[in-house]
Amino acid sequence: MSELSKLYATMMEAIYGETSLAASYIVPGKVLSAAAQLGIYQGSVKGGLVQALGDLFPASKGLLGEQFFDAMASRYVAINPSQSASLDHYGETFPLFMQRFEPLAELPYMPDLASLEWTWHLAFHAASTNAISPDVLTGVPLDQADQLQCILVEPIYLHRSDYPLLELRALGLMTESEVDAVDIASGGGCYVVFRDGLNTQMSQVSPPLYALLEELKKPLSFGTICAQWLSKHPDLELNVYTAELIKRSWIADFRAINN
Amino acid sequence: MSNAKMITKSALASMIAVGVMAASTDAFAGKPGFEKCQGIAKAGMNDCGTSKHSCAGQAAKDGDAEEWVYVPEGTCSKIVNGKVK
Amino acid sequence: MSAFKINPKDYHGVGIGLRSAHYQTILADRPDVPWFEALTDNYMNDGGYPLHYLEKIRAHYPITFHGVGLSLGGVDPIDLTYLKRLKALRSQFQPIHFSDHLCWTSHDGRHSNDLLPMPYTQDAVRHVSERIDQVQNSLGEQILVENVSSYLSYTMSDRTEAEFFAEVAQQADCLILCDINNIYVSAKNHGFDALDYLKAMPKARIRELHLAGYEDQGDYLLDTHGEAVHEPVWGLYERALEEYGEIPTLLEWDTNIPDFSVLMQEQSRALNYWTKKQARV
Repeated sequence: MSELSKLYATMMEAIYGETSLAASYIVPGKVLSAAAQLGIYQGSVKGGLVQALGDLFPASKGLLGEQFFDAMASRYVAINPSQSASLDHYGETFPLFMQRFEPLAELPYMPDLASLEWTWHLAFHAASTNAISPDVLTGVPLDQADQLQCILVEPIYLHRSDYPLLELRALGLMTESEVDAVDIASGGGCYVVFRDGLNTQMSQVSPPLYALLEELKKPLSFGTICAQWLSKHPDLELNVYTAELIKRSWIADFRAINN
Repeated sequence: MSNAKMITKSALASMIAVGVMAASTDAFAGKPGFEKCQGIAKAGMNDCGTSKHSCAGQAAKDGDAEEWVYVPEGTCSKIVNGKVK
Repeated sequence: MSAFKINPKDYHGVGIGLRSAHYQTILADRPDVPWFEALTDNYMNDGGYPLHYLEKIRAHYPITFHGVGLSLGGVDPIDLTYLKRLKALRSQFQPIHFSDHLCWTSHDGRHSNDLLPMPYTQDAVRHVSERIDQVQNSLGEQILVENVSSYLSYTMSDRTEAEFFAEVAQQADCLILCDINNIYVSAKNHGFDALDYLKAMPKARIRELHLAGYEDQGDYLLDTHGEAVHEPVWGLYERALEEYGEIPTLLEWDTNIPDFSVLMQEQSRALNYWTKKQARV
């Protein structure tokens, strides 16, 4: 290993708090010791990542308060070094960390909310596709419908939760002043995070529509999905839900299925 | 025609019907476009790629190395029935 | 290596660092700013608002590209995916030039997302010069490399930062982005003379200057980009203009971001020094 490699390896370990060996590489200052100089970088790196988590999980931060959130985030940072040059990639496992984080045990809705926030972030920065135009839609051959794949727009993310995530998020962001209390006992639901042009949005949908969306995410033909529906929900009118998908602009295309 | 094939055809027909109706009532064209957006709808969207240094992570800000001393103090105090004992 | 093609009409005076908080103000008011600097790392995603706004702003202003993610001084291989995305952005937005820093940011797959100082040795000169050269070859043009603020120095360093920088610029045949605030911050933290640093820089390679505000932490100065430019930095800026001539200058403000009008006040103060200098020539 080159001298440069050795120095960087030791510095990086020191920055993430795993060793104090780096001090021997550092010239002690007149005012600050080597350890104190290193501490400035530790603080800057940790601070930058904690800040990034706060930006990516703003509703979680709002619900927990800055002091709690930042202290929790700094514990996450200590064991989860950044693995990308982009801070937009940092924090994917933060919801899982929150799930296992003892001081949050009494607030079980927090990991669900955080995982919703992560997909919100992904949707916000994703390339988006447009809904199918009426012209293209009318041109889809009815007789071959069962051979085609019905393609959802992108991005579209699905969340099922036992907690009222729409209300929790609004409360965390305090975007709606009329939200002054959320009753967890009011229950959860099925949520869809999607984009309308540049605007990221979130909707609550009925369980059957949600189930249909889950199937459409799989590489199955439209015929297979419809046949499955028939056996699983013989009492529910499929047409109502497929029509709903068009109304909501969630279908991008009908295409020959790729095997 | 099998039952499954019929239901598939009818499912697509209902989609086309809605699409055509929406087109004739101009519902698609009526969607708010980019220009009308009310701003960047992501709270706290950050400029992450800056060349600044931060003092946010300095030791004084989370001096409790061992004990968990903070209590959530954000808006989650407004959540009822939210605690699991 | 060919120099980038700059239309002097597009690139002069004092530009402002583009931040998302100001996208809409800029588009609505079209302030009299000669160019904006876009932070490339904020536009590496596939879609969404940031790219949309950058496109709109680019339609009215020239832009420069400034990055923090290449880890030019590092030893992990240059991230080719990152470089590829950078090239795609460059062909989409046609920036005046691209710059990154004389520092390292990652090692062995771990990232600091921070600008970490290099040791100033012969080995390090050779190492970082080769990497800058690699990037320049890949982009097909010279890049600007910027000095960082630092809070520590290494026992293995055997030359000053300015000497190191000059050697790197020579060997890599790159251009220089000279951050006046960073020189001041490092000079205070390490106890060297900022003017000596200015004078030791290879003048002919300097293409742009940066200005920003530090934060006084008592025992040291921290480069937070969260305040107005401090008086001694303005003084040093004036000396830099005397030393180097009228170099296009960029104002950065990244934390506690104020109203755009505050940036315009700072911009016009910088522009005053700039035009004063121009008038004397």
